[in-house]
Amino acid sequence: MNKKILTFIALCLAGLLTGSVYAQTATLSGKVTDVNSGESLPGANVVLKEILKGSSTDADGNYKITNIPAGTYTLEVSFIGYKKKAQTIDIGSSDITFDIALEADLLGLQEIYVTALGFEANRDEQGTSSSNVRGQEISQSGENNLLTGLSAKAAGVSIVSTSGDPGAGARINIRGFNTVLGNTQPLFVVDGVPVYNSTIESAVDGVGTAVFGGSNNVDGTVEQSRIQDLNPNDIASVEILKGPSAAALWGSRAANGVVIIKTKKGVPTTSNKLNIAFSSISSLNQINETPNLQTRYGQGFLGYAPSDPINGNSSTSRQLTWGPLLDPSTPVYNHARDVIKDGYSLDNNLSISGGDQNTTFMLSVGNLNSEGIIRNNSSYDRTSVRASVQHGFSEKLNASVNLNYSESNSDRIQKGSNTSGLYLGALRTPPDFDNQPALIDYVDPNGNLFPDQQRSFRNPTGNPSVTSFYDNPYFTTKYNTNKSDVNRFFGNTELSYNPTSWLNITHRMGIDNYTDRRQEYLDARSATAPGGQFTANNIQETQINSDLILQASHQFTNEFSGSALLGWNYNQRDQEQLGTISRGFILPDAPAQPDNANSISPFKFKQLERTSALYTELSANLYDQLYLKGTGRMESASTFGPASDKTYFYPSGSLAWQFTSADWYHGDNILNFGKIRGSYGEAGIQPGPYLTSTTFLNATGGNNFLNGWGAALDANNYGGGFRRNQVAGNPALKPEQVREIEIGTDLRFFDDRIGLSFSRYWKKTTDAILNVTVPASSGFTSKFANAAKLKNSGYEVELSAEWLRLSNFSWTTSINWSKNKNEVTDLAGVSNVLLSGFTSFSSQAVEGEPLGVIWGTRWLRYESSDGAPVIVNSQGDIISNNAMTDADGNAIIAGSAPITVDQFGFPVTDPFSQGVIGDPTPDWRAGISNTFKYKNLSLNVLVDIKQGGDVHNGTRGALYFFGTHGDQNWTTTISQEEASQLYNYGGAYDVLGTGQTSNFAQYLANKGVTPDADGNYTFRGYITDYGSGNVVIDETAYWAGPLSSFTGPDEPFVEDGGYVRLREVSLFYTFNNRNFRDLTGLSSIDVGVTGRNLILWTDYTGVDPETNLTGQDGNGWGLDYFNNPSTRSWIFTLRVNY
Amino acid sequence: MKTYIIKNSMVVLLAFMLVMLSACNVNEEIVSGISEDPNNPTDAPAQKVFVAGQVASLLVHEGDADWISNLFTQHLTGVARQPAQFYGYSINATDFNGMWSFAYSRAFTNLKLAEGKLLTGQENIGAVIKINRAMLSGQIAALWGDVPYTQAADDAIENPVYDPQAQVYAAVIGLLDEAIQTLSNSPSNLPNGWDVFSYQGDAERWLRAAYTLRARYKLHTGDLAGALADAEQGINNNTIDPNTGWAAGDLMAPHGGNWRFDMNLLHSELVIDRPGDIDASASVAVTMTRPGGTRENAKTDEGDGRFLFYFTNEATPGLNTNDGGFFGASAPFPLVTYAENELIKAEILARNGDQAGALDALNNVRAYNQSRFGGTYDALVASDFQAGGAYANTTVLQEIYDEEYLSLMGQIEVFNFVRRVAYDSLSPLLNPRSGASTIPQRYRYPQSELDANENIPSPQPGLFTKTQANGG
Repeated sequence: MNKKILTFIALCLAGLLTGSVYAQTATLSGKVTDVNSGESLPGANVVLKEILKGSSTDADGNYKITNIPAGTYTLEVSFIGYKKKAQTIDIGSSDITFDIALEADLLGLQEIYVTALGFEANRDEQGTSSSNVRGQEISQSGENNLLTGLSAKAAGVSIVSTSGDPGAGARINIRGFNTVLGNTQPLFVVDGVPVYNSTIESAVDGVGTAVFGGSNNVDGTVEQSRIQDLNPNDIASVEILKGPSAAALWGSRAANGVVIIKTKKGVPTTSNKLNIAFSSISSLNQINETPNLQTRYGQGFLGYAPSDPINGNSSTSRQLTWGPLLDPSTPVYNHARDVIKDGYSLDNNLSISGGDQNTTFMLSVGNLNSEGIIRNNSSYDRTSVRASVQHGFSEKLNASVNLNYSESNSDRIQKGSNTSGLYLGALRTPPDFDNQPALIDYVDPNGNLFPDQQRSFRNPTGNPSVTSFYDNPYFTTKYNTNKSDVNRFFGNTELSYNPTSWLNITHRMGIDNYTDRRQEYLDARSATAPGGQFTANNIQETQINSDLILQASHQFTNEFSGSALLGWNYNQRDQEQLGTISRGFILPDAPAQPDNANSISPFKFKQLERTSALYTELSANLYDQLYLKGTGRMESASTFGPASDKTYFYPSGSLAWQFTSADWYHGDNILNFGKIRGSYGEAGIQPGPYLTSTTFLNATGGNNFLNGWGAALDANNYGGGFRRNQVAGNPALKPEQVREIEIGTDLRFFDDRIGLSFSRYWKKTTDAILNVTVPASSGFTSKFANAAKLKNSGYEVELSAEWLRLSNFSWTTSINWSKNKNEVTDLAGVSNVLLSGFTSFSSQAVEGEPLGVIWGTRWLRYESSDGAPVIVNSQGDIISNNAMTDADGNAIIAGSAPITVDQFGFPVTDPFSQGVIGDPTPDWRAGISNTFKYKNLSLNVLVDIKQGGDVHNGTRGALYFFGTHGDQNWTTTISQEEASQLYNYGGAYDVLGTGQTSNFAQYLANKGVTPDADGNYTFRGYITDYGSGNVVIDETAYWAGPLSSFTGPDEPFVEDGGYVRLREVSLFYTFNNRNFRDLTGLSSIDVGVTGRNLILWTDYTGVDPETNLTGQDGNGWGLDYFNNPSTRSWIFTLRVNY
Repeated sequence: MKTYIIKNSMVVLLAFMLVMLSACNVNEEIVSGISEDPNNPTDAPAQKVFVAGQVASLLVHEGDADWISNLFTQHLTGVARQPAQFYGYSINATDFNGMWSFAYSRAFTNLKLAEGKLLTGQENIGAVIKINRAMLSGQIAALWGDVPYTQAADDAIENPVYDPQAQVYAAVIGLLDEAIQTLSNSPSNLPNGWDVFSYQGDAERWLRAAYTLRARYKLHTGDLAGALADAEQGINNNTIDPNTGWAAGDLMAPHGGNWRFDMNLLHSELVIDRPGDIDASASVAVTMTRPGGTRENAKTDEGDGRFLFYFTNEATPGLNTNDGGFFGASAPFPLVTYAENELIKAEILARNGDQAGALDALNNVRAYNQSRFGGTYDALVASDFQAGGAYANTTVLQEIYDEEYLSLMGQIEVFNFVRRVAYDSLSPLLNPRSGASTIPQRYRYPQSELDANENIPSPQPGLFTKTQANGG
């Protein structure tokens, strides 16, 4: 053994000496140009591969490499947007001039592949599929959030932005959901080191939730995704590894895929030139889609305005918009746009880079200032600074450091099911009520003055003893504030040592730390927290990551080479939340301070997770056409139960065969490259921390003894007590297991003019963690257990084509298409598990259905024996004789049966159970991008298509109750005779309290309506038939009957959320010709205009269907309930490169 | 060359495997020691767990299990929403999830855990915990019949078996035997901070309560002689405690008026959580205690003292949820009382034919009532029940039952009493709207247990099936 070490050291020394043995050297210089235009290419990389010596071209495209020992080398020239060129070159003792012309790579098919560990590899040798997005595509999108910048750009990657709030986060999901309650987001790795993309959602009280299973906040603010702290302008490329087959090396954090991000680095320049790039991106944001509201009928009910002395003056009448037909002269307001304005943002970025053959650096600074489309208190500002330095101490030792600091400040307005939310009060406001002014002086009957009270449509006088019920949108946007200040530092160091040509040792150290200081302030006059509420919460997360990697490669024979890698990974994540909630302000308008309150409750939460793993990767290359790779990771984590195996092994293997390199394949002009591939991988999803042991809880506050009826006792009032947690810790808890098989092919036709990739995959999750109910008599009520199973399978197709390439004009298209089928196959006997939402409608896991199906109340549908509708009475008892029954004589309820009606003909809510009413899973998704280039002018058009996928429009369901929805502006006239033969809901069920059932004519008479001169009645409503004859649908069917989601089933409010979206249109012109460069001394100037979300074609009737009430963190989706609206943007870009 | 490669590959592979295996342990070492929750402890001392267990028990004795009992016994009237349905005996297995979960996963578990944490020298605390456990399991068995006891809250057992009701009663009596023995031998008071009830750690009062409780459960199981002997040593202090307004010997749960902190749970339910769902509009107790009602005669004039303690004096009497009323926000709640103890004696003596002895005990209660509520409760004598007497139309036993029906008002125990002696067959306690022929005879097993415990009795006994102790 000692002998070997000695040999090793000797070899190392020999290697070090070699550099000084050869005294004779030469210089290589030349010029790099575009083969089509002949223009010189500044900034291209020129490297002698064997000795890793290189340079980059200057402003005139010239390069120079000095001190080259004699020998035969491979000269590689690469430049963004051009195909890489390799050329063998002999260097003797004299200097050589060598010019190179590069061919534009319009499709980007030969890009470098970045492996799970962040190393570069040849894409054509990979046995797994992945999608690559170039940094330029992200920065050109004009999005200041990396995630939304990736929208529609990669197959199998679904990105849903949660709202149009500035800085709003987005939910990313790759190839479907692999877990029920665990994390669904992929792992983000920047420059080889994992970083946070956590989203800690805040409830309306401002407290962040960090619970296993994700939060279920149907209110609060839309939070950021932490990955957006990374300035998109600093990104060089994004590689998306879609699942265990490609990402298994990250073990129990890899099941949802890994997003590998490479940041921009400096490149060597000649004659110490500095590369300076400046960009300025300004944008104009406007509201995109709003729910449709009616402006024809006013506040009130039964057709009377609240001012009506007999029928109007009640709180019900104020609440509803079932009042009189408005006179055309009455001013009306569009409350969906009340507090909406145009938003602007300005994003300036400056980077300086350069270096020589040994050292390169890049410094960049970016400043984003954005104001949202909401009138006040909606903004997102981000300042980021990045420094990146690489230095080669010798040809054997390289060191690099990347540092990133960002500060972001945001102001947000609350959303969702929240009386202080933006849209909840706004959309419910009657069209004839002016929400301005938001404040009013109130004088009580005794003449006492109460200045500056909140005025809302339910409390127009601002009476302080009556709540405003819902905050006036002008009030909520001005006086309720939600601030978040984030300071984040992340960076990494890398030390790489090559003792010999075949061995490399790399160490990477990463640190990621941020503090999110949130302050949520609800004014003392707010509806949600009368008296006021102030929450201060400091959230801090720190992640430390270390990787030590040994790599060796060997060429065994001409036909066989291989490499081996052994690595050790250590990762620690630490989260702490510390804050106070204070309620009841002593001074209503004092600065936000916890001690300005009657009640102050501090809180603290901490969690620490650690992972340690050894991993390996072995690869072999046979005959330069068969590529085999196997990886394995042995991992332990602090979240695995002490009674579990503690260490889990995650293997993967892949095989790629370039059949076009086979001897029998004699080059074909049609198919110039072909590869088939297959892979298998296993990865996991880590359990949440602290689920493995049983805790004792202080039986106070949220852990007090609260029974299901609302009564509670708090042990602190009885001397203080701790009770054992009713949720049992499970020491046998282990990571969820995801196994994936993938097959596919990558083909290129007509000399790389067309590229086609196809992948098919199957994934199975076992041991998914559920909170399983156990008998309470065991001392616990539930226990986390590895109990559920899911599966996913799908197809992905990526096609790129270069239709035209003329000397001045080109047209390329790239299309990605994907389809994923998800199914929850086993829920351990539990029928359904709530993921997010309300008790009425929610997103649930249901056995046999895709994860996240929409669950809610339905129409009653008794199976009929004769096709005629089954008739029931008001109690739901069957009163007709045509209901099909089962063997026990019980009537059968079938989802496919016609709607059951009552004896008057109105539909009836199924009183027995809730069920699946929709599925947010799209049938397929596609992104189609066309790029046209004429000389230096380029036009890119990206269309994003989502086919199918339901959204529950809870907003419409609620507005139907209030009578403000745009559908509800009907006016119908019927004769008195017809009216006396029909029933409306209010007459049938006597909402007027007359003591008897009335037909529509009697009903109208009872409420004081007389027929017009022609003997007709005109009413707000319509006549329809639910299967057993015509009924009158008027307001009573909406606020008392089954047609609104407050009073009836949720089923009718599920809508198709499919869309076709003009996601991006960008037009750019580049000034970079010789004359321009000579004149200005600049390398280039790009000017461009981009439009985002300009056109949306959808049948969805609410806000943009790309929305999710419960944010990024919760596992449920497909719910819309007074979500904040989204935007479309015009973006103007100027880039100057020196 | 080839063998060289193979040989070296084998060495490398072997070395690699060794590294992997040893790294396995190193990795486990590195991640160990931080799996414990830094936010919540994984254990707590006996005192704090006992306090939690007692408070949780109150959610059983005083919570929904209690008001549903009193709906069934027609002390309370359900008029809206679920209480209206329960009042008509329409009550499902899911309606029992909450109280069962509280009884076992909160109360039973923490009392048992607390007992297991005691040290030598804390025997008198152990005795009080046993009394609490007996009171809890006794009521669980009385309400549900066969229930988990021996295997309940045992970490090694996921599906506890259901012990026969008689065995649970025997175990409850056994717990009380031990408590009585301990407290008799060393009657030292508990340190401060352990006892959340009105006794505040007074060992002598706990000993008396233990005797009364043992009498209660012996009576449940038909051991009349044993029950009588225990009642003789049971709660005897009938001076009115000015703090509670009840007898000084009564075991009371103290309350403040703060909602969700220490508010009387019945008040919380009636006034804050479900206002308007429950009233006294059809309460049998109203007709019995109302001034000028059926119980007024030459010997007895209750006046309005007792009536106004429970009800309000209106055309349609309501429940007295005001300060000083039984349902007041900070009204203490009775768990075991002097009146119950005396009435156990009275009932047994009457059933044994000792009319004079029975009347003595009943008269103790009447005297106590008079000192609490005012009015006239003259001592009764045998001749009162003979022709011409004020109670000629009734029997001593029936009068004792009527007094039990009123004295136990508001407690689960009144439901146990009504079922035990079939008081509903003597008085019309049946809800006429229900269509049933008897009032409910037990609580249903909860849905959560039906779903999760494979040992639940099959077939399920119905709501109207008597428990074994009551002849089922």
